[in-house]
Amino acid sequence: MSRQRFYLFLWICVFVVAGAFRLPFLSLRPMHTDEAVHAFKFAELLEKGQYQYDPEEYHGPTLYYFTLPVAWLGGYHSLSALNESCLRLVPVIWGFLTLIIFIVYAQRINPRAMFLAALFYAISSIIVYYNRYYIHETLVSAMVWSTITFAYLYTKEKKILYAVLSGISLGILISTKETWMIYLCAIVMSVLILPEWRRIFFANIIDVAMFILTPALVIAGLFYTSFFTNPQGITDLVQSFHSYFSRGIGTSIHIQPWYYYLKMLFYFNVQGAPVWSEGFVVILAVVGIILLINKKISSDPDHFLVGFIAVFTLLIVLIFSLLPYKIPWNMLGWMPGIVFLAGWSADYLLTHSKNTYIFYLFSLILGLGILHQTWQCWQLNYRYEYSPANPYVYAHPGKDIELIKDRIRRIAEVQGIDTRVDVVFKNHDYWPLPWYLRSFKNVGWWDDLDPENPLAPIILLSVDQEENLLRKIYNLTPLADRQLYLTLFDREIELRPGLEMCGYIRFDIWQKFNPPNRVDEKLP
Amino acid sequence: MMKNNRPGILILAIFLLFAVSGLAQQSNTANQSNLDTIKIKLPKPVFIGTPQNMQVPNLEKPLGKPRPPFLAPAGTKNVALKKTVHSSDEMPIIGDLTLITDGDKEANEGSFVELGPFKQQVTIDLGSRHEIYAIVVWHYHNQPRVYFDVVVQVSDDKDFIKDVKTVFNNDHDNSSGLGAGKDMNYVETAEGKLIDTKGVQGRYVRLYSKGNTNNDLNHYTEVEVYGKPVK
Repeated sequence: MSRQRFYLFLWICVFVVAGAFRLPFLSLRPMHTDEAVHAFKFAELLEKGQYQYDPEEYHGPTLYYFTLPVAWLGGYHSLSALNESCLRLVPVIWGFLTLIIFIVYAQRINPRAMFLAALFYAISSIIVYYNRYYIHETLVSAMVWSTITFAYLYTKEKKILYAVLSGISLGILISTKETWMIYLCAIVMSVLILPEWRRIFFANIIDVAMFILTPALVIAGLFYTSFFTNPQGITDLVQSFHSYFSRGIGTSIHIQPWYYYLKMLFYFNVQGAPVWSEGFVVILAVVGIILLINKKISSDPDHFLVGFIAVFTLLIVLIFSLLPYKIPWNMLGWMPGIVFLAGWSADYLLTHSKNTYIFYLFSLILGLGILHQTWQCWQLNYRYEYSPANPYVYAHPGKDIELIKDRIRRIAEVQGIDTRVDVVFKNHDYWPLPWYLRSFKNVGWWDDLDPENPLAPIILLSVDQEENLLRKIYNLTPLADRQLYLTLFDREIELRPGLEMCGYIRFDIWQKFNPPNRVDEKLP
Repeated sequence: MMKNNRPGILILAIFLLFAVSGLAQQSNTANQSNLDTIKIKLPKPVFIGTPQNMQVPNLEKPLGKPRPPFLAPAGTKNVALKKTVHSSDEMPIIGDLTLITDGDKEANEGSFVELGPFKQQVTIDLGSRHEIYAIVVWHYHNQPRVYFDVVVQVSDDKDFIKDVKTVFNNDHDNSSGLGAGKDMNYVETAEGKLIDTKGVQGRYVRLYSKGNTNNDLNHYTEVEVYGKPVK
């Protein structure tokens, strides 16, 4: 087998492994609040053809626009027809596109290093986890790295096409999430820090403005104006700087210490569950940076690229760690940099220890490390996919959502989707219930129990509203109109960790509903 | 003139009475016929941001309403106000220990003291022996947080070696080494956490904590001790 065929075979293996971890059972994990909110935002675009950028919430438009072709191809034309697999397939596709970047590098620089980096990417628990999550992060990550990759290709081959593709990637990045400002700052700072990049940048500044910045602004303009239907989108984009800057440094429920991300990557343990760590890959990346600082690989022709990726990755980790506002999926933006550096340093150590006992020792450690990462990836994505013991599970609905789904399905079966359902949670904190009730036509979403409104036959509410509901059923309702209500669940259940909820069902529906565990009950 | 018009006015009044009662009847019938057709405009779901990640075992349910009034003997007052506070961290990261008993329990910066990471304690010297009915503690209520391993003790010994009475302990796995407690974890609110101390007697009140759901640091905005001097 020729060397080229051998690498072709290895790359096919990497893509098969990446697919095997990303594609199966996309609906396995319950919908997170953010996923459900994005699904509703997308449904407005799908059903009415309308999208309007909101500078305060929900981030940029690209996630929704890129979901459209997937939904159309799948034959989904309404919110009620949509499912988790259709939505989550979008980030999965973008995760695959990020993987292609390593092939681009492999063709031009070290193929073994890039194969190892791609393998680390394919089996990384955190990357796989958020590649299967209907949020903007995978798209952000893909666009950050394609902006850098095409810019690198432009510096090497001087083809205008690469500069334009880098600009288009930057435009999509700007249109995806407001954190684009942080990534762009880190890219510019890295260029200015590294002398060779700085020289090329200033020598080609007109080309950068014409072929990178101009396409970027055109693409961003298209998306933010909803393809010229909402000119306000441009001013809203400017306004979003203030909103997100205040959030990033201000008070928030997502404020964490500076070491939050690093701690999560190195060590995470909840009693009764295994210890999780991405330390193997992170340590390899750190070794790569140390080698780079010691100029061990400065003579390498691709020191130019590795140096840039090392500086950019360090800067982006530093900036996100210093910002008080932290959410675990932000790590996805820099994980490709970490696996790139890990692949690079693993290759360096293999090459420079050849024909010594260290080579065999390191090969063994590398093999064991890959096996561990593979096992961990399977565990965290298919066994602990919504467990609080999983470091990447963040305010996620747990196993009780299965019980809620089951009850909702049975109500739809026995009473139909026209049944009125009232959902009462303080501060509208009822997500992701709207997703699970999306096929019901008559659902009221309340912040508080309205004493004027007649009671719905099905009521789902947070436990702090239960006392008000019982008062309404038994005290405020006139005796002649009073109806008997029963609890919908046999126990208190959690919509999310720390958010307990309960449900009530009118007796006449309950008789039709008749859950089996109640039928079998023997009365004294 | 007026006398001649009386029959006419009477007829008009009777006619008006019938007309009004007829209309009322009609309206009543209409109301009755609409009884089953009340249309309620249901609100659409309102989008929210990413919720807080709160994965704390043994967490107390939210009360959902103001705390009921706490009853104590007449003359009971906050005996910790302006009293001396000592701590395992005498050099706090933010603020100073006097903030714990200065009477200011606002959530603002400048109202709380930030102690170092992991297990830390503050000890309030009440100056003399007191009968204590309640202790109210505000760690940090600017955001919903849970402080871990909250242990509250009362003693006459300033070193808390002998005659230590534990009035609250939610360290369920004894990870702080003060004994396992059965009290529940709770979310910080502006109301503070009220601990019913049932008239326990002592001069010193010590409060332990060991980080919180957001970081490993420990904070105190205010501690109030409600009691009366022992005569």
